[in-house]
Amino acid sequence: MKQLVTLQINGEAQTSAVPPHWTLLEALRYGSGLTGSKQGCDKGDCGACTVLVDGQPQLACCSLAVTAQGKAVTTIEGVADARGPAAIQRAFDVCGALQCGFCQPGMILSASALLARDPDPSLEAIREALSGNLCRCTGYTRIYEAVALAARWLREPGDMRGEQANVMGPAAEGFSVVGAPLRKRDAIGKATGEVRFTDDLVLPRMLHGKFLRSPHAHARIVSIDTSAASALPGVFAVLVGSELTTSYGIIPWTPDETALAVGKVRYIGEAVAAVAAVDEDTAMKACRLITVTWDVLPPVLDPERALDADAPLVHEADPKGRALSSNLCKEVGLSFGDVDQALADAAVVIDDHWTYAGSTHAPIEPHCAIGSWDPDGRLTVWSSTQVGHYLHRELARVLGVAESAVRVIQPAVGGAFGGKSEPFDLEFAVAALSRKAGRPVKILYTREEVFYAHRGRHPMRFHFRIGADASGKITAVDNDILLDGGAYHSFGLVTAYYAGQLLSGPIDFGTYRFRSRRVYTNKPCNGPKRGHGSVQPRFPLETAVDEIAHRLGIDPIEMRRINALPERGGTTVNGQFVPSCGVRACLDAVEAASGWKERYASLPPGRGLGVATSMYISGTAYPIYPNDMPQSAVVLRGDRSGRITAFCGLNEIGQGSDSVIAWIVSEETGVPLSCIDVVSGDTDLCPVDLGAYSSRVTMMAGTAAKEAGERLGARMRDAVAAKLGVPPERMRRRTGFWFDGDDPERAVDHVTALRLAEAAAGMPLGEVGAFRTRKLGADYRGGTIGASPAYSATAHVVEVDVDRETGVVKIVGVWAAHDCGRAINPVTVRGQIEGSVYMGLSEALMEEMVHDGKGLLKATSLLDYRIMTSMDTPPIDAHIVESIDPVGPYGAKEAGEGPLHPAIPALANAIWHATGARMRTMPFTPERVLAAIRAVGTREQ
Amino acid sequence: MIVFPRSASEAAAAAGIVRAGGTDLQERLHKGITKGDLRDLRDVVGMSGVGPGPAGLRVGARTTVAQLAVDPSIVRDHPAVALAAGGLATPQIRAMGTVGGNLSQHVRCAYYRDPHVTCLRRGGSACLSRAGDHMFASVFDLGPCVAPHPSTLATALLTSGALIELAGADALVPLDQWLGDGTSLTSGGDDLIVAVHLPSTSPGQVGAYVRTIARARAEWPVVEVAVRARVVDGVVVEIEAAMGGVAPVPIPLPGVADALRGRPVDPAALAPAAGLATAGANPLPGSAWKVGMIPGTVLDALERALLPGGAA
Ligand SMILES: Cc1cc2nc3c(=O)[nH]c(=O)nc-3n(C[C@H](O)[C@H](O)[C@H](O)COP(=O)(O)OP(=O)(O)OC[C@H]3O[C@@H](n4cnc5c(N)ncnc54)[C@H](O)[C@@H]3O)c2cc1C
Ligand code: SF4
Ligand code: FES
Ligand code: FES
Repeated sequence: MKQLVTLQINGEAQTSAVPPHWTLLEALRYGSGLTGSKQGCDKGDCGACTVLVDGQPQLACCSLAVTAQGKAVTTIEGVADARGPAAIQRAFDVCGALQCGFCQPGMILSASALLARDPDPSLEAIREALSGNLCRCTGYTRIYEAVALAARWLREPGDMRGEQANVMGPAAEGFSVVGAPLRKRDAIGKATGEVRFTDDLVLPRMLHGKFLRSPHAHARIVSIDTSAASALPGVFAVLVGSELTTSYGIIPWTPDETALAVGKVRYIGEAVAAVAAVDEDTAMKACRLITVTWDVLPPVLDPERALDADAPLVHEADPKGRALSSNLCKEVGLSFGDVDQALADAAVVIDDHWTYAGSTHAPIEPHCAIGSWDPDGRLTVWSSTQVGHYLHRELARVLGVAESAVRVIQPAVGGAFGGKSEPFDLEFAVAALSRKAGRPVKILYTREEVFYAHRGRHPMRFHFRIGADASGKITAVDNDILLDGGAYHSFGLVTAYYAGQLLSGPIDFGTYRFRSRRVYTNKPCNGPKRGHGSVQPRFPLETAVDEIAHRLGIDPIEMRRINALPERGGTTVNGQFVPSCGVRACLDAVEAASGWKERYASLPPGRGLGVATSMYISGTAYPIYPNDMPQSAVVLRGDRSGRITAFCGLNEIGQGSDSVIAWIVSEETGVPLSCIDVVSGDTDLCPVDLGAYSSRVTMMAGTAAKEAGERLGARMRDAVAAKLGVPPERMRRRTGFWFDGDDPERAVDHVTALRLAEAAAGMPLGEVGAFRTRKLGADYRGGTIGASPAYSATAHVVEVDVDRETGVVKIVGVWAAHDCGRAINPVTVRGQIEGSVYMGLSEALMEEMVHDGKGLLKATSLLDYRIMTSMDTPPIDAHIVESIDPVGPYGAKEAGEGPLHPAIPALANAIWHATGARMRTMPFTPERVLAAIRAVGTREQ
Repeated sequence: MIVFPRSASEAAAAAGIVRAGGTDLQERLHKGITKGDLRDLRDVVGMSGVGPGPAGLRVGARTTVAQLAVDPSIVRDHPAVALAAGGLATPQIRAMGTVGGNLSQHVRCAYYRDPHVTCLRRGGSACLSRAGDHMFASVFDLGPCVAPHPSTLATALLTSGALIELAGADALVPLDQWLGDGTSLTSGGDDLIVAVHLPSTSPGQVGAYVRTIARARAEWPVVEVAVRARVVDGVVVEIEAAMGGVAPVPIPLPGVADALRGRPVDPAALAPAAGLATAGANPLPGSAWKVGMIPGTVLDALERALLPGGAA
């Protein structure tokens, strides 16, 4: 039964009929179509749904629509006025505070309430006011700046637009766009709540789907009875695993998953059946009516136990149907040089065990997908994916239709970090349910389901040995790595390689050996989280290097300089060619910024500084499925109105890749940014790009955009040159114009240039560009895994304050310098560095996927699974180092993942410096730190 | 169905689950672990705000946590209560959550809130935490359920000797009595809380509230401690302390208070006094580590309350 409710929303009375149990959030989003208020958790933990109620920030997900009657509700849509976006919205845009934008409506409302009561808030007041709004992308630093800037604009009302221009700086020497701190193209739309995410889309006659999930970590499905569910009024379709038995997997050789469990379940939370109904409540009710008869099997949860001969088998057969006798999913062993001899000869050897805890991505937007079939039998799936192309292929395979009959559209994505880089049950389910029901179907994960979908950081156990000579040169590294894979393969084979292969820089070793084994366990599947596979081994390496430095009396920063790969053209011990490596410049930057030299020796007890470094790939050498086609492509269409549209299948997930394409095209053609459109994330419209993973986008899509842009630019140049009667080599461009380099007065604007080029071509202007696979990597089996066109480098210094009575670690300062080759836009690069630093520190300090003895995941909310709030995150001081790589576009390398790695060991090294306790197990929670401090105390007595 | 009673007696007479700010209830309804019709306290007259009362101050049950944190008379007369209110959860939760709801909120035990399983407190046959994961469980094992009491306000209010006004009851019930001995399996009381009363205090109240936890906000602490005191001419004339997060009910710390009461403030005496707070702890194997967090947290709270300039 519905009830008429009148709400005062953004100053207008709005009456809608809502069920009495609807929350204010449901009424706003579904009743009034105000989708700017976001649902991140639906239970009070994230703040994404924050609205102002009588001027005060409140959570729409915890309020009922009926109780909000008569109160003044302000949503993000009501913040802007007729003059346009409000100061706070513009400030978020200008400061680069918006990445995925999903947290931002709530964040902006909390900030505007703060500014209404405090026109000049201190940093502490800003951090406190935002402490109920979680952001997973930004590291909060740009947000603090934005709030302070908005406060200044409001206190000193001048020309905000003029000021905005001042905040934006010039381009790099010799460029008109590259290097300029430009605003991201989608940012203001995110600040005003206009940008639509998947769950914001509503199709006519759309149904809502829900899953029935396994309560057992390991069980055979004896039978499933769906008759009562199917009979429930309002239910349109029910789906079980036996209807979609084609297995899939992101790696083509290891397809070991099915859309819904077939035959048995392998972790608590695995999808067993799905229902599509008129609304979520009915679908949930129907799920409860499904009865499953289980044959419960003993689960295997510990990765070491999983290798025992008598351990229960998670998979009884491999994807080809061959019987398996062990839970070993992948083993890699590689050796470079005589490690044993080098260890025997070493002046110092550290030989110990480390444990890295599993963590998850926790994007604030839960996964969401919509499926719809047209009358001709073509499927369209809208999904919050970061790999539209792979999803496209797998959907076709699993549903048994031609790839040409499938279209994947990726709307704005509210954070991904690797957590949306594979196909998931919901994408297959919406497609299959929609086919059965004959109507569009949407499924939005609950927050618990996001935790079950997981694919997060692999827990790893290390037996790590490292040796150095008396001068501090690292002569040997020997690493035995056990990866807890969870229930399925995912990217497992790559992860097992990455855990060893990516460790060999920027610290150069004399000899190296690793063995890594990934095993199956009855837990949600692990996969790629920002810094895939290579974040974990940095923890033993960089903490052990620190320990050696102290044993040898070498300053820890100096120690890293001694061991750094060469700045140009280095080759790692495992044979990877590193065209440029700016780690020394990074170390110089953080050393100076943190006051290391002056302070390291003189900090009071309980205070500590720690340093660490890392290196990361800028894209993988080869695509996931072998083929000779380009890994990324851009199609440009020039229009006589003066606009260019760039089509590229890349997946914009908040990192700013659409903007990168626009900036590069503008640079190459002189067409102003206001006249460039980017169409991405649509497999019907765009040429293939493989997706947003492995930090490949700027390198690969950027190269493609540059090639296409150069070609279109050349046409414009030649046509204008012919018109002006000057040789084409003499033509120059700046934003909006092409002109004669010898006589700049002789110029034509970009509109005319495009028209001349179209006339000269005698056909519409179109150009293409691509990134083609190049032969890379070393010449042994596995030598191409870890090979990349270019490698970034990073150094962090972290300062902590440790309470020796309780073990509580407070981060008081972070300095991060990152060599991104060239910053095509320093604001977005800084945003990536800060977000990475935040994510690394957060997992080091408090994040852990904990399962109980039955395999039940203990933390399935953003409350129980802790991620750092603004109160935990000091402003992050990010520095950009530009080594101008010989390979990347304009010299650019990656910036999205590399800067995460050093955070964990730098923090551990800082805790040691503060307390004398060497942390070998993550996360560094109060109980672990306290125990480590007490253990040191006992040793000293 | 939802009803909006207009008075406390109407509210007491109405059927359905009491709903105040909804910050705890809404999640449980959403997960399906709590079901039923609602009686929303939104329109009940006289249930909101802080004012004079028969014992001293009367705090309406619908007063928000945020209001409590900044109310001048609470800040002056019961500073530990104000600090606790200002230090829990998040700005949004404090703006919505109410005093009555905070006291009556259900435990945060992950098993309790997991719809996949049914534990003792939800009518099942066993405490799943006791046999399973209980890292954040009680260290004073008082009853069948080992989930710590979730209310920060209850901990702080204990130091002020708060009294509970229940609908339909003639006499005020002392908070410790209302909280019980930790053996009860129902969360909150079954009765409607109309107000919380705080006895008047002598001028010069000092207070502290300290929580130990990895994450600074949006979080329940591992251990939390509230201290209320009055120091005259360097002598501790009044002191009460209580601790939360460690037992099915907040634990008063009379031993700690007795060790310091009536004596001059002596920084060296604080650590030994704080050490008394663990007396009687009987943790579970997995929660034993929490005992180690208690002395440091109590010490920090004592220092903040008693030493000029707060913690060293
Ligand atoms: C991220 C997060 C962190 C948090 N951290 C903390 C913390 O550190 N410490 C802490 O104490 N709390 C914490 N909380 C909980 C929060 O403080 C409570 O949810 C809130 O105070 C409950 O108040 P409410 O009015 O919203 O209650 P509701 O959700 O409306 O009700 C809660 C329960 O109390 C009952 N109830 C409500 N009012 C009355 C009444 N007058 N009489 C009888 N029964 C009543 C309801 O029936 C219901 O069962 C946190 C919450 C979140 C989401
Ligand atoms: S501690 Fe209490 S709430 Fe948790 S499982 Fe045991 S009985 Fe249930
Ligand atoms: S959606 Fe409301 S707090 Fe997360
Ligand atoms: S920008 Fe905050 S969550 Fe993405």
